[in-house]
Amino acid sequence: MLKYILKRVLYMVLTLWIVITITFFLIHAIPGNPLASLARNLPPQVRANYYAKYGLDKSVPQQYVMFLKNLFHGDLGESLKFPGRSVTDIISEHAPISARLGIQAILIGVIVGIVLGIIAGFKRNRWPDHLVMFVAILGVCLPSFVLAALLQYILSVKIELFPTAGWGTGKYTVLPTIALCFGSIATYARYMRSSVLDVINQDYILTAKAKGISNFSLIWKHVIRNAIIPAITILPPQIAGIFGGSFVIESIFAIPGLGSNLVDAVNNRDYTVIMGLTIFYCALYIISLLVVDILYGVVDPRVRVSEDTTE
Amino acid sequence: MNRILEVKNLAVSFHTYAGEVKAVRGVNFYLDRGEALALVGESGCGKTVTAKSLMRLNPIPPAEIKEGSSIKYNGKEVLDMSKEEIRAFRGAEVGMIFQDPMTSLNPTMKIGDQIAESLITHMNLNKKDALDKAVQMLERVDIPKPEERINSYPHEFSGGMRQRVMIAIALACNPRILIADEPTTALDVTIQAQVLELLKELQSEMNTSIILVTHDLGVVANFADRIHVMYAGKIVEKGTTREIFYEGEHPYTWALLSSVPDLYEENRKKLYSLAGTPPDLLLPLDGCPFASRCRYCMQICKEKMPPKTELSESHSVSCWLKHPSAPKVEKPHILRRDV
Amino acid sequence: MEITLEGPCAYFEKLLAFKTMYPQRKDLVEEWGDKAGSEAEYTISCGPFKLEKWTHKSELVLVKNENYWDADKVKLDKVTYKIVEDPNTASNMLSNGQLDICAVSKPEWLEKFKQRDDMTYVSEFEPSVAYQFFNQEVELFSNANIRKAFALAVDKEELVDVLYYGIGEPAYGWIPPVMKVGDKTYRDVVEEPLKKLQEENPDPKELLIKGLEELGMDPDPSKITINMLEGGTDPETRRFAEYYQQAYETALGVNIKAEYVDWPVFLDRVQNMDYELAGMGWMGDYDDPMTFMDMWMTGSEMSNTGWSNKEYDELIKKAQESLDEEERLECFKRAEEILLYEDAVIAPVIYRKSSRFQYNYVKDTMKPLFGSGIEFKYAYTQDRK
Repeated sequence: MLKYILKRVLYMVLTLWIVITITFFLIHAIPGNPLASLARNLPPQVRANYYAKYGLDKSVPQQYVMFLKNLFHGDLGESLKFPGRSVTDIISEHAPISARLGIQAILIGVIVGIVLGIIAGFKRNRWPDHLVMFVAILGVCLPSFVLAALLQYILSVKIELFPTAGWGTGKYTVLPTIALCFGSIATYARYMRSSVLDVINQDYILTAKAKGISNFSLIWKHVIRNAIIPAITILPPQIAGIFGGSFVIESIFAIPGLGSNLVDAVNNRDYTVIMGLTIFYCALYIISLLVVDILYGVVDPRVRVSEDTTE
Repeated sequence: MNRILEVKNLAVSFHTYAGEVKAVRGVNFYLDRGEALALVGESGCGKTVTAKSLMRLNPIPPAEIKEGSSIKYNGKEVLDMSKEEIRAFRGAEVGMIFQDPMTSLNPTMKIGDQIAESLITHMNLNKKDALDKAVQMLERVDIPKPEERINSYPHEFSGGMRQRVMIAIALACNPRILIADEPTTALDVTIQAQVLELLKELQSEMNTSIILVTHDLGVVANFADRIHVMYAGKIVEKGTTREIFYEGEHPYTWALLSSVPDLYEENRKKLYSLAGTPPDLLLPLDGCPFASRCRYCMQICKEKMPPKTELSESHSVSCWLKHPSAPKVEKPHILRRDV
Repeated sequence: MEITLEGPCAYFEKLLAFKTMYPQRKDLVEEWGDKAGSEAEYTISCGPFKLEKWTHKSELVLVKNENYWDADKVKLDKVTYKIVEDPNTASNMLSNGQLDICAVSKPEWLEKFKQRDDMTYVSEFEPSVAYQFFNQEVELFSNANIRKAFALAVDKEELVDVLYYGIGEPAYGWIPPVMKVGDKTYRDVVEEPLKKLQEENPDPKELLIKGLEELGMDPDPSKITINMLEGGTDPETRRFAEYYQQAYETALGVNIKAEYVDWPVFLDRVQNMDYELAGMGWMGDYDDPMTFMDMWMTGSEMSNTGWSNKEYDELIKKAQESLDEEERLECFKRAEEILLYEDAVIAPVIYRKSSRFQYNYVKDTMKPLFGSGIEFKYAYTQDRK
């Protein structure tokens, strides 16, 4: 197991390096530079100094080597647009906010989605199934930002249940979490439903029934345990979706998360921030993939990696 | 009382989009203690549906057990049992093993737990005792190193081993009846024999009655006491194994017997294959269901259902050929060979 | 502290209010370096309020500054600025009272809030002008008549209504209505140059054809395609660009192709004269026309039109050095005439206005022309529910 994880970590570093390299050269290939508006009215000499300070006077490959060197020492650099704000600061200040929202949304999305899917699967073609499927179709069709605007208008402007926007106590997270997780709920409900239906028709369910065990054991140990395995496979795209979808939601609910920082950084060509955040997001995603893989092994003994069954 | 199971007039239909499929159309049979009964017929003849109905395992809907059907276990009507009663009945009184051992075991559950599950449910054992018993059961079905194997998952077993595990699960609570639905069909020939032998051994050891469901008459020859031949949801001929093999009277029985490969036959011919397909069970059947494929088919066969003719106390057949005014036909030579 | 000027400067006092002239604490600036002003803890305040908390991208909390020289007059204890990017969200927050004051620019919300009698609509001029400008290195725009044609092609009254939802005034001059020369409001005494130009040339298309003939080009406007550079890729930029496109095509019969690039790219391209026609806005820094005029002098880093005019340069130089406000006003007047009427270097479109709604319980807020938003020094709330 340890060997396996070590191998995976090695691959992760490699992947990360490739992503860093591609991002670095791509971002430098886009026209426009971060100091264009800041250094616009500066005399040429001052401007040159300014560019030199950030190494922007050097060639792109030189900058790349410099960047990797700094990265190796754990230095992600400083924002070009907002001098004095280090990328590490930005991440440590804003990432926990995005993380809280994301984790809440994924947990609720997955759990509620799975529960709804199971209910729909067991009550197939009866009203709970129809209701869940209606919600699921709504969730798939309705973009999160539309839902966000609706929630905001109904639950905050019309009925003043939750704050409209901003960040603070837990109640600030309610609306954005719902907006963010609704799609996951829908996807998971649909996925889980078909998975449950699939498992219900499996021979081993008949075996279990023939044993005369209780309904609870049947559903819990035999149906859900097996139905959940394919559902885990769609976890990484869900996580990615929530990362991606969060910046729109963050903007609507004025949440100081990482997403809007990345968007701003791209718009401003704030190279260091873009690189820092890309590395952060990428690492997060790769780690979540690893976690999912490990999780997969926990739930499904057939893919479990251990000394006595592999090789 | 020696009679453990009595099935009367069992009729099962499936409600599909196309209409009502009458899969089982009035089946009568009984099972005595310690006896092995074989239900034989080709795919779709209703033998598996009949077997599952004994434990009420057909999902309702789409299945429907028709009014007037009766399944009596030790004198108690199975069809009237409450949900709790049927749960207590399944596994404890009747065990069942299925055709495909590759898919019949829960892939995410340890073997030991799968065996222990019914022990915990029916025998009120705690987990540890149940696992101990599971080890014993694995030992009884000849799984080596059972103490270790209870912690294995199904994918770590071969097909034959898995079927042994299935047998261990089905027999864990020492049920009075074991229903084996094509238990060897998915296995290699050599392993088939081993599994059948094991079943036979356990049967005599535990004095369990067995209902063996199969399409392969070859399998039942040395196994069953009595054989019921099913066709299109009906039993067309019943009798002791000897009676069916040597004195079979129904043309369908003959066809089945002709399809069994004979290892000793000097003159090896192409294996007999029955032409045509069974009738569509969606449509009403007026005449003999086998009529369209029967080489001795007469006019009456297409018009009226043949009555049951009792040939001996144990042997009966439903065929117009048994009618006094029917022509005498020569039985195929297969029936004269040694089994 | 003592400041010595190299030469006379009539508007020096006004210049002092610009942020580059703000005092700094030398020791702290040296200690903090780049960090200065990046977090609440690296910020010092000498105004009526001080920055207590700054949650980036979320909010700024100002509290009353006890050390302020006029602290007795400050009534509010706390002012919170919410940073909300989405205009709908901001309007929602205003509508249910989570905000007391909010800028509003979306027409649907303007209508809604204007109907509420517990709110006041405040719209004030900003020292700002939106304008279109031409690259004179492009052959077409080297001709003044053609530039004039473009300057007159857009119906500014309609544009203010359609693009700005009525927030702003059509601009026929370059100096916005609120700017002062000395104590005199410039626009009160100086006619807007484009009005005269428009009266003399009711049909801009004629000007265009005339210009084309002067250049020896094909006088058929429909054979001309002009690339219009836009500094943004968002829907709002597209809405603007499509309006201009339509306006030019209708009035002049030319073809306009809009090219959308990100703001940094836009600036780069403009600086490198890599454009034909573009538009942006200019916000004055201090209360003197100079903040609008010196940028068009030859060699200025801020103008990228390729235009150079000796008389203009001399006029502005004179206005920079003169202490006589009357004389300076005359210089600006003549310079603006050259800039817009004679050479049509740029085409002002709108004098921009700010617009905000505030609840009636908010009293005595001010919006200084050259400051950072709303001034709360004297503000207070009364009968707030």
